[in-house]
Amino acid sequence: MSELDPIVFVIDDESSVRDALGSLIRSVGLRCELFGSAQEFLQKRRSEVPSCLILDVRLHGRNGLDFQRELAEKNIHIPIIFITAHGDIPMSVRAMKAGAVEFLTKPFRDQDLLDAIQLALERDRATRRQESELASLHQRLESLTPREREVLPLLVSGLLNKQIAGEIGISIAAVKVHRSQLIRKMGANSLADLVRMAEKLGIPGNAI
Amino acid sequence: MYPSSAPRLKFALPRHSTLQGVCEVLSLPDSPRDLCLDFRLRSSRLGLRSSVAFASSPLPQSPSHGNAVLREETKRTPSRTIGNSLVIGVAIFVMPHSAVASASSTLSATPAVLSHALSVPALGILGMGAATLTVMGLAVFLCAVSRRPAAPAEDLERRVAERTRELTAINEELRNQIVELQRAGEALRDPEEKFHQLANNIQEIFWMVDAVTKQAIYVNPAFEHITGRTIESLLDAPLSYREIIHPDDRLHVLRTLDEAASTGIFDEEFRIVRPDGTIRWVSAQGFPIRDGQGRLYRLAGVVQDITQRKWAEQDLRESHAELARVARTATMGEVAASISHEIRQPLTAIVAAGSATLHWLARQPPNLVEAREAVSKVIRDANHASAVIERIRDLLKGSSPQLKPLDVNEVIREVLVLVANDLVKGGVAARTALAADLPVVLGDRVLLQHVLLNLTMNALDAMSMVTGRPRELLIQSTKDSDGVLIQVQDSGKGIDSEQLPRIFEPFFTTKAEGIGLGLSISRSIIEAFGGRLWAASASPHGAVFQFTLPTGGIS
Repeated sequence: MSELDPIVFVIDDESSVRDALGSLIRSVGLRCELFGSAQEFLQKRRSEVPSCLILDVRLHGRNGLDFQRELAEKNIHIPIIFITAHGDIPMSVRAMKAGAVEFLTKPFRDQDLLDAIQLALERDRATRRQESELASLHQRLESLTPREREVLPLLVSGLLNKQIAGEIGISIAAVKVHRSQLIRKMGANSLADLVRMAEKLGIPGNAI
Repeated sequence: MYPSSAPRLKFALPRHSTLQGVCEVLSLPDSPRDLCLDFRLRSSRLGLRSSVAFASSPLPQSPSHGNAVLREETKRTPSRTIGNSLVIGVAIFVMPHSAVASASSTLSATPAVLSHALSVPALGILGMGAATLTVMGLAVFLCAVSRRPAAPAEDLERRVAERTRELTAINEELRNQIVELQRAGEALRDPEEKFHQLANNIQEIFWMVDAVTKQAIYVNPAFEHITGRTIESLLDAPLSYREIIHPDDRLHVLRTLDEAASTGIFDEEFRIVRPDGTIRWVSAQGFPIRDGQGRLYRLAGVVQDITQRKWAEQDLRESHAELARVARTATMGEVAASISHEIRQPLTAIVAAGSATLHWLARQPPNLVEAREAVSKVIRDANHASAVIERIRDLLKGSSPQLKPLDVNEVIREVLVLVANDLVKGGVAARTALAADLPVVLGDRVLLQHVLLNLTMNALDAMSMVTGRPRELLIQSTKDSDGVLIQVQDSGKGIDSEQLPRIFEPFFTTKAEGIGLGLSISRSIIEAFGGRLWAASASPHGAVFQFTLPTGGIS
């Protein structure tokens, strides 16, 4: 196991359950970190690897559902699997609506939990991919010159070179140069690819 | 000041009761010769007030004459006219005690004597009084005398007016007397009058029936208000009151009324049906009326409309039952939630650690260290779960430490009150057969109620689907060899012979909404009291739950 392997966090105030879950998770080759309270979990600085959280609904002094909301407010987007010894339907509906991956009633089959963990990690990987892709797009956007950044929205909104030239007040030849430069810098394969990127970056295609 | 012994001679004028004369001794001289008397006439009617003071003239020489002294007062105060007579003065006879015996003839002859002495005709005695002046050994007789005044002709009009005034006054007097008489008459009629006022205005029915024929003799107007029927309709058909009684209560009430004819006691609460079909609850009491020989010949009493009270009682009972139900389910719910949570935690750990063990062993090569650790966890958590169960058992045992002497029949009756509404709603007829000579047993009243409530509600649930045969609940108590045996029997669907051995297991239930703890907790309670609780099928239908409660050594 390396630092880049995914990690499963468990918050349960019942030590016997916590320890057993730890053993189960490690037995299938996953990294696992155990916490007795939500507070302990928040104090821990998490590494940037795919991860998920197994959260008991009833914790000492606080409700797991409230903690779910608190994490969202703190902009901590980690997939959550709820476990509970006395769950009811309204509770599970609320948890799932708030984005929980799964809501398991104790005692649960090991496979149900392991499946939920795989799903949660996959979801976190996807989120992370999207986030890193967006970060790299932003980085590329930063590398554009002011003039290229001026041309980009006009280009992705479908204007012709001469229209762009007229719009900005430069020659058509200059537009052509900026255009090829910014496509290369953004790493786009085609104009269509560039339009998709612009969309992810929130650059409006119909800015004019 | 007069000496306290000074005589006050009071006399009334025979035909004028409102006229009174008072003679007071003004001074007690050394010699009777100087006796000074004050005479006053007072009349409440005429406002007559006259004072005559005089000194007595010489002592009587002879009783036959006395020493009449007459003072003419006519001219000074005309208001002293009484009737058509005029008081003209007072005759006073003073004589030695020794002479009194022979004085009566003197007194009766007074008018004549005076007429003669004064040469005035037609004198009449208006009143007379006598007193003894003990101090001086003298007796004093006193008369007010009158005569018809010699009326001048020109005085006629004045006399007519006077007469009119007089008559008016007499009229007034008469009217006053009539009023007084009326009051006196009312006082005589009072008891009857008061009864009528009471009977006509009271909210309760007053009733009276013949003790033998049971025919109605009397009811007051409240009868119409409460029963919605007219008094005439009842008096026309004096036995029709029987039809007023609700059919379900009629037999019982009439039987009690029959018995009352011999015992004289009648006190019942029952329903009546008004002509519009509405039902009212009444409370009726009766008492015997006996004749001179002490034979009971009538029954009388009151009937009170207690519908409001009954409704209130029903509300109370409903909220009571509701409370009991809520308390029951709350307790059971809490126990169940607590048990489920306490047990689920170690079970979760056991399942997870057991699964982990399999995963560790499935690895290539198997991780025996981790597998051993996981199996240890399984054992540890299983022991923990077992401790939890032990704790719950202790808890249930601990809830019945207060064993006190109990009257089982009383607890049964209390529970029946609690479920009264459920019985009605479920269309169940409840019957009890409670032995009167039960020994006192040891237990906790509330917990025993809980058990009986539980068994009763189970019985009602079991009968809820029953059709085509009566839904009957029978609760029996009998004396057992070492205590009391209580049986709760229903005519419900009964218990499957396959399920019978399991019904006391915790969490075993045949009800859709049940949690399966009622019977298991009930059995724990009865066992904590030292008794046993078991079930059997009843014949031909239903189930019978029985439990024993030992006397616990008390007698």
